[in-house]
Amino acid sequence: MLTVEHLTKRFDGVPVLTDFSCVFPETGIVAIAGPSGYGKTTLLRCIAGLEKPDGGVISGVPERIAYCFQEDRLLPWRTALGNLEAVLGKRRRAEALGWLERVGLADAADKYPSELSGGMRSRVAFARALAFDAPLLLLDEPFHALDDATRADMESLLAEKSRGKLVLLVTHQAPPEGAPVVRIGER
Amino acid sequence: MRDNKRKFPRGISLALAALFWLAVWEAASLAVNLEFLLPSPVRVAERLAVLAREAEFWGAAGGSMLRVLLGFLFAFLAGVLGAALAFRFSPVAALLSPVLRIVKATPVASFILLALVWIPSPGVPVFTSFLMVFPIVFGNVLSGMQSTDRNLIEMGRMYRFSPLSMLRQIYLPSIVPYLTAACGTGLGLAWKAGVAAEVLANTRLSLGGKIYAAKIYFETPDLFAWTAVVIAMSVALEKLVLLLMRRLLRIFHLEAAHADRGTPDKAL
Repeated sequence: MLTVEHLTKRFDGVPVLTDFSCVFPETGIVAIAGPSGYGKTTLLRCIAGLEKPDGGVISGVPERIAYCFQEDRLLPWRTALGNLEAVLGKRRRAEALGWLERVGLADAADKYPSELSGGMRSRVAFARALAFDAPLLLLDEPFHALDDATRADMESLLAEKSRGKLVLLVTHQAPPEGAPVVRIGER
Repeated sequence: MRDNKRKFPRGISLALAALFWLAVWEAASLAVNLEFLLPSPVRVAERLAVLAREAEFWGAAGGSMLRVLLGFLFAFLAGVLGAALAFRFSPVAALLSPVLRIVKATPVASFILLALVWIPSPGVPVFTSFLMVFPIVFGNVLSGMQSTDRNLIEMGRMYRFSPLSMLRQIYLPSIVPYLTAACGTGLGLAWKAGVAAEVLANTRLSLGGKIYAAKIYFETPDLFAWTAVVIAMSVALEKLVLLLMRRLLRIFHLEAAHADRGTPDKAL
């Protein structure tokens, strides 16, 4: 079980997270909400091992983590399909195409990130995170560039594909229905 | 808005510019009227045609090409390897830094004369070309590695890219524009330094050796003709190497890396 105890993280001496503790459920979607600059992304980065905490303990982190970053972080020199193949391997091209189809981008498979809109790029990055098939998904505002209808589609896809997994979803929007909300930076 | 500027195709404007400068050269030659000071372009072309019929011409051209290519290739390999080591181990970068600064600041003639003392004459052009190209390849490849997007490196780590995959998917595409620029600049320098070394070393079967002989015997039309051969071969080799690089990029699906990131070298 993913557990965060007394997590503290400072950047240049400025505390971003102070004594944050939380026990996450084994599976399901957990929304992480709170004002900007209060450490939601930092929490995900500490869990992913991309930041070293200044204090506290994080335990129960699986070895394999799918991380959908706030920025799309697509390889600019690979097509949408190529970006999924980079994670899945070339032999799983059909699977990669299937993921693009599920996020509504089958027609954009041969397009480079520079040829896609912000919303399309974030969907490719989202598809990449789902395709990676990890027990823990860290999603940092993956739907912020999407319109309401597309966002609803992506949330139902997430609900369907994340069964049996733990999803930590940082969001400024309304959390998915039924998802518990962990608030950071609010009293 | 209508564009009133009349635009010529690039080939035509290049040909017109070349014709203009040939006319200037011809006029200057007529004004000077001394062949050993400034031969006319027609006379140089005549000499070139005569020289090209001799077997020695091709021997000299082939010999120079081989030496320049060897120097360039050694520098390319050492530069890429050195940059990778310097990127991975910062003490290597610190260790190489003063040496590279000295190499860049030292006149090429000093190196050639020193090399003549240290190594046999045929090796001097190879060594000189190597020395001129190495800092460029090293510096460019290191810059390419250092400018690799940290966000992509993090992404690769999260998605558990293998070291080979990190190299192929992230580092190599980041280096491509820098490497291409290094090839363009490096090849030009390799020719200049290599031929200068051949002149000073009076290397057998070399364009530099022929230039030296033409100067000794005041055969100025020949000096011009041999110089034209050096220029033509330098341009041809640069085009060939860049064409080869473009093929390689296509084979490894990296042409988009070049297109996306842009490159200081527009030749590709």
